Amino acid sequence: MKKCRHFSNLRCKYCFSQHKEQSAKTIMPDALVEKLIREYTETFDGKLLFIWFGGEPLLAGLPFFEKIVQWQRRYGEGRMISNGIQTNGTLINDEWADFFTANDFGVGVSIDGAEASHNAFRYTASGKGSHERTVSGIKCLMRHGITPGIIQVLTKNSLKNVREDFIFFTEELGLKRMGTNPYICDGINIAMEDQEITDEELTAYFKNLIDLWVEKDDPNFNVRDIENMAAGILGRSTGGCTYSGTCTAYFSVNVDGLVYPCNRLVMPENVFGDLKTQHLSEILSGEKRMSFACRATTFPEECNRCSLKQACSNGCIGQREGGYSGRFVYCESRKNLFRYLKQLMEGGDENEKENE
Amino acid sequence: MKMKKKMSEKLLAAVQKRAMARSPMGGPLDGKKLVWWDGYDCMWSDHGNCSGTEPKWKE
Repeated sequence: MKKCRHFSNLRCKYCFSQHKEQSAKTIMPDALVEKLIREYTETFDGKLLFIWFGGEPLLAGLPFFEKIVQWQRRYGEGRMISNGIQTNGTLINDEWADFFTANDFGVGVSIDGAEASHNAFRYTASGKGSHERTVSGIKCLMRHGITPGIIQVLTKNSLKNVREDFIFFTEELGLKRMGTNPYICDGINIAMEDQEITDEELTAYFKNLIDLWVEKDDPNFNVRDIENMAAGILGRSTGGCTYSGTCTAYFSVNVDGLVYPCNRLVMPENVFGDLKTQHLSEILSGEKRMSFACRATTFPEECNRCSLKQACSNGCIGQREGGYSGRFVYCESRKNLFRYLKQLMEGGDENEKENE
Repeated sequence: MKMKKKMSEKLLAAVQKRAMARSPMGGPLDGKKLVWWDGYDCMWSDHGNCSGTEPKWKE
């Protein structure tokens, strides 16, 4: 993973970088990107995966990504290398879409829903809603044959729009893949604390979303959490990082070369090492990373008694009460939703609803 | 009057098929394995090359 840090053309009100300088052009230096690619290929066998995000990664410019592809070909010759990019979509044009297509980039776009949900918090630098520009980017991708996955940030404001937003994604945009991240301010963006999603709210939201998904009845439409829970119910790997505990297997390289466990855990106490002065393999096999993995996989005692332990893995490590080994803040929601989906998959009775 | 809400057979079959294409639920991670990303902050188009990506550390 590689970041452009806080550098963005949007000023999303809920962003954890909101209090940072987002106009400063912070892009990873070429020499560091090349070193990362070279050492990543030196360290691992098999397929390799890069994810590019920011800030807004497209601000790094097309030549930056063209160089990346060249280095990947040079150092990863004969290897299968995949690239994913997470963008706010506002800068996507034909040129970018051609590049993504030609180089087989997977594209994720951050969009919160229809205009009412999205424009509530996702502003341009001049303070206007960014919905129109993001939608324009998505439509451009789709004209080029790319159907992006989308990430929606769920706030208190958008809870009530679940149906409208789902219809917008599925019918107006014709998307096929979505994920929802509940907003938690984490004590960083205190001004937005009132938009945090509680355990109960998340349960209600996802039950609604699951119902809409069932109602939509499109076998090709993937909702990330439904896919993960269904896999867990069937005894398969839940895959997604907040279900499978696999955050201990990723690493994130910041624009300054410091290596962290994840984009969400960029804090001084979580630095694994410095790519500027150390080889990647030295950093990833170091004591700090192993210590982090140990803390991340040390669960509260109640997890050991929970039948969902392997399917849930105590959720996102960045969202645990009282530290990395604490209880997942959405623990009860997880239990309720696994039960709800399992009963639906088994055709159980708990999902009976009054037919008005 | 009550209506039993349930998944259609085609929807159930699709989600089961995708689930079963994943690897079996494994044991504890040793921190030395990288897996494909369908993660919290990133969500991209269905991307065949990513699925099942499990680079292994070189010996």
